[in-house]
Parts: sequence; C-alpha cells; structure tokens
Amino acid sequence: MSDEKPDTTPTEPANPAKTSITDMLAAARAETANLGTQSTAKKPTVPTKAKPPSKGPKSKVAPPAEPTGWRVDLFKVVPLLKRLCKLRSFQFLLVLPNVLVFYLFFISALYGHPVGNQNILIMIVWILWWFLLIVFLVPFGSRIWCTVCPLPFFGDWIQRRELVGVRPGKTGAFKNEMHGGSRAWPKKLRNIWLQNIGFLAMALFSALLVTRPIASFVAFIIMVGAATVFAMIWRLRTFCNYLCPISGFLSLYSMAATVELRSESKDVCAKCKDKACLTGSEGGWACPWGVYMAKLDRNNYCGLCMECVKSCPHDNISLFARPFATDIHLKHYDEAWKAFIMTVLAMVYSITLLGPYGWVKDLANVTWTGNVSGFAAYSACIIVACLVALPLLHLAAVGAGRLLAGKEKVPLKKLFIGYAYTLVPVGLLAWIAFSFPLMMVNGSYVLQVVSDPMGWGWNLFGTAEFPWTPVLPEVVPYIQTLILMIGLLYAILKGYEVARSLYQDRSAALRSFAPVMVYLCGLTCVYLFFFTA
Amino acid sequence: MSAKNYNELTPQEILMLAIDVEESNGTRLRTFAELFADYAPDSAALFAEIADEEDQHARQLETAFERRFGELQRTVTEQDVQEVVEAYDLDDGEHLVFDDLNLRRALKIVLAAERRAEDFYRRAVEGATDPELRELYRQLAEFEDGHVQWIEARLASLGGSA
Repeated sequence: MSDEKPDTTPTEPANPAKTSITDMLAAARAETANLGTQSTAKKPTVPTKAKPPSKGPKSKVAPPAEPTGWRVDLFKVVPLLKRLCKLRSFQFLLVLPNVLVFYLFFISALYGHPVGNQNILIMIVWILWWFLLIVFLVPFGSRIWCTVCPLPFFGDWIQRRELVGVRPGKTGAFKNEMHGGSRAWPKKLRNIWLQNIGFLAMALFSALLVTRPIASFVAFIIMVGAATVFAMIWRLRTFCNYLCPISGFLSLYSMAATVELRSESKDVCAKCKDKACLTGSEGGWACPWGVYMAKLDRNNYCGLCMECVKSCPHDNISLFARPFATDIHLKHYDEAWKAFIMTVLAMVYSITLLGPYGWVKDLANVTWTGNVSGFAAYSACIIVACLVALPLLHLAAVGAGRLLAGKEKVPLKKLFIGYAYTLVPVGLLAWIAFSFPLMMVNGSYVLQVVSDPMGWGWNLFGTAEFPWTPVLPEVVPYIQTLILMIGLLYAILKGYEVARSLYQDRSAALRSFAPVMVYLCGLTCVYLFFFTA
Repeated sequence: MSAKNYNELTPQEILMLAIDVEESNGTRLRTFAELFADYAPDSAALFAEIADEEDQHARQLETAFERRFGELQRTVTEQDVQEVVEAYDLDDGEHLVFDDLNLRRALKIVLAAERRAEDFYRRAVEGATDPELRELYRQLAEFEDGHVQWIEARLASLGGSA
C-alpha cells in the first residue's frame, strides 16, 4: 500500500508488511505488559491462542431489528411539533395549568358541595377526565397523560431544582446535576404488582370515590404525597414506574396506542457513545422513566416527557404514528394480571356505577348503607374474579389450546402471558364502551359544575342551572355493542399474530389460539349482557 | 461525509476503525457500569472490567497500527462506516432492564457484541477481494473470537449454556 510507512521500531522485524496482525498484537501485548504502563485490567488479557482458520459467520447474532409495519414520522410531517417538543419549557407549559386546576379542585373538595354530582372535582376528574383519557388520550396519545400529570410535579422539582431548565453535571452515571433520592428500588418490588394492587384497591372504593369529594381528595393527596416522598428517597420516577395505579393501566393500554416515541435508526443508537437518553446531557434530563431508546420496542414504560428528544446528540428520536395495537407482547406475569384486573373491572364499573342493579350499588356504597359485611362480600367477589377466576379461565383456554396445537410444544408460561395480550384490545374497548354512557348520560353535570365549581350557587358561565340532559340514551347500547365488537375483532386479529409469533407452524398456531378465541367471544358476550342491561 | 461501506476501506482504515470501535466500547461500558452500580453491582463490575479490556485492546491495536503504518491518524471512526461492527449494548429498552440484569445476562450482552464483531469481520473476509485485506479481516475475526471464547468460558463457569 502506498501509504505504508517503514517500521522504525528497532526491536521489531525489519519487514512489517510480512508481519501478521496477530503477531503484531502479540508483540504489542508483550510490550504493553513489559512497560506495565496503562493496562488497567486486573484479569489477564483475552486469550489469543491459535485458532482454526476462518469459521463461518455465526448466525446467532442478528443486527438490531428495525420496526416493521407502517409508521409515519410525525416530526417530519409536522415540524412544528418537533420544535415544540424540543422546547425546554414544553412539559412545564403543559403541566403548569394542570397543576393549578388540580389544586383548585382540592379546594373544591374541602370547601365545596359534599355531593359528587355538585362538585367539580368529581365531575371533572371522574367523568370528563376519565372519558377523555380512555376514549382519546390513551388510544391516540399513548401515555400523553403522563406528560401533563400533576402528581409528580413536586417530586420532579425536588430532584431537578429546576422547573424548566436542565442542569448539566455529574451525578453517578447521569450527566445532570440531580438532587433528591438516589436509592435503588427494592429488587423484589421491581414490577407492577403494587400498581395492580393499588388500582384494584381504588376500584373497590370506586362508589365512594365518585360520590364523596373528600374521599377523592384523600386519595389524590396520598398519591401526591407518595410521589413527592418517593422522589426524595428513590431515584427518578420510582413512584410512576412502580406504584402509581394510574400509571399501571396507562402502561397496559398504551400498547394499543396509535403513536410511539422511538429512535429513528437503531444503528445510530448502537454507535452512540453517550447514551444520553439514559444518562442525560446538556440538552435534556436523563430519562425519568429509565427508558433506553435504542432498544425500546413497546410503549408500556415511556411517559412521553420528550426529554430524550432534547438530550439525544444525534437528533435520532421521533414521534411516530402507527396502526392500532402494534405492541403485542406482554413480558411478565404482573403485566398479564394487570390485563385480567382491568378486564374484570371494566365489567364491575359498568355493573356498579351504570347498571340497573340497585343491590350491587348498595353493597358498594358502604359509607351510605353501613353494610360492612355486604361490602366485604362485594370486595371479595371482585378480588377473586380479578385475581383468580379470570386467570383460571384464561389458563384453561390456553391449556386446551396447547393440547390442540399438537406436537409443537410452547411453554405454558409463554402461552399464558402471550395470549393475555388479547385482553388489551378487549379491555380497552370495554372501558371505552363503559365511558361513553358515563359521559352521554352524566355529561350535563359537567356544565353545571363548571359554572358553580364550589356548589355555592355561583353561575360563572350561565350554565349552573343547565338541566340534567342525557344525550341519546337510547343509542348508547348500540354504540357500546359496536365498540365491544371492534375490541373483539382486534383481540382475534392480534391474538393470532401472537400465536404466529409463538408457533412456527401456522396450523398449530391456529389450533392453539382457537380456545382462546372462544373464550374471548364468551367474554364479549358477558360484556354485552351487562353493558346493555 | 457520507458513511462508507466497510468494503470501501483500506487495511489502514480498517485498523483505525477497529481501534475506534474498541475505544468507543470502553466508553459505553463505563456508562453502563455507572448506571448499574446500585442496581446490579456484579454486572456493573463486569462492565467496568470489560471496559478496561477494551481500552487495552485499543492500545494493542494502536501499537500494531504504528508498527505497520506509522503514527496513528484518526481519519475513520465507527460513525464513518455504515455497518455496526461491535457495540456493547443493553438488551432491553425498558426500566425493567434495571430489574432483571444479573451477571449471566450482562455476560450475554457482552458476548452478543463480541459475536457480532466476529461475524462482521468474517463476513468481510468473504466479501474482500484484496488478499491482504482478506487476511487482515481474518486476523481481526480471530482476535474477536478470542474474546468470544473468553466470555463463553466465563459464562460456562456460571453453569448452564451460553
């Protein structure tokens, strides 16, 4: 080669062109060892014994998979969106109004009307917010609620000592100046079981929460307090990751969302030395959720704070539009049980809050009736249905499918967790079906409380006297039926995709999925029965 | 500058690339070591140890480069090449990676990178027409294979298969 230089090292062979790299490496190693200079390794260097010549490439290691299916880069289609997300003040500007309104609601809970449908906290949070969240924000915005959530506001402030800016620095692995807690969350609790239990506990008291403003106030104060205390003890968003009951179900149903925040090129991430999405940079904070964008392949644990959009030195993070229910893989039992719990609770809420069963309402309304044993029985039924009955039904269907699949055996655990995903589209659409009548029948109360938020006889916008006006109540069952059918359709389509990912043989996949499909149809029939009752 | 394909590189540039890859991996591994220091100390220690190894490999390759080509000029880095040669990387994007990482998994992460590098150089052997270049690729593949064997041996010492 023309640019080769003659070897000037006196101790080396005269003709370097004939010296192999292996020989040179051996010489270099010896030299390094003799010099004893910068070698910091405590163990002996990697062995370099003579190897048989050239083996074939090892097929075990595949390059990082780029996502399949259509995706639209929203940052490219709407450049303004990217500019907004890159603003340091982006999240603060969204959270601040939410924080102010949220704490005004607290005043209303303490000093306003004690009856739920006359109190703005109840009507806005449990009717309007819930409707918007489950019908629009989650399906079309993934965890966009986490972007604007007021609960961790104070915790973030404590950890960052900034509301808008970013503090470059060094805190452990993070390239930000971080304050607050830095402890690691206990290993045994690093899952979403606590979130599952929390949401189930809140659900048991749902009748209380939606009728007594003070009960909702207490629940929210506990959550704000926990989020703040957690930020003072444990690092990053430990509360959001492991405890927040709302985060738990957002995590599950964000899998179905039609947007995702991902890296544009996995290769750029692989070559990235900084890993700024994880560690932070001068441009952005370390991911508060502990998400590593290079390998992110599901929405579950990305809170869409957009810090990685700002911190990435390669401008490699973007927001993508994608088909509904693109993430189809649950990974652990805790996620499967989250699906069971949410599926059952959609039915329980519909029966308790909207159904014609007065005796169920009485059982749930323990603070009105004082029937503690009745409430205990009601709670026990829900807990058993969520944690035991539906999982057993699921297990039976999965087990039957495994038998039907024939020779190709997939571990039962894999099937159990894999097919639990089918409850994501079914459950999400069931919650949407539950939320429509909630809004259509009770939405007029929202207009009333907006004008009279404290229930003190104000009429700020002239709507305080707006009469209770259910919107097309006779149409509600048809809307619900349509929504539930869409859920079933997606469950079947996506369930079959899961089956194909588990079984190599198409026929075995179909046979394995058949019993699950039957039980999904049965589940939808039960929904239809209770929803339209 | 647009990224090159590896078969457009000269032997000198390939060695430069190999040096840069080793150095970059040292940086990555130190970041991972710091990240996991509280969560999985044994894995963090492994990452730190391999980072030192990578630094040492970089120096060995540097010495080799200087013997053959003279003073090292860093005109090619891994950013200048389309392919990913060897990049130590976590195998999970979610926060739960902090929860599941243990020494075995960390070793597998390291092993995946080493195998990928070996695979890269072996594919390069097949594609190279220049005999000298082919020999250089083959030797680099063997260099990586030494790393693979070392990691496999450590994995085997933990019990079970790699």
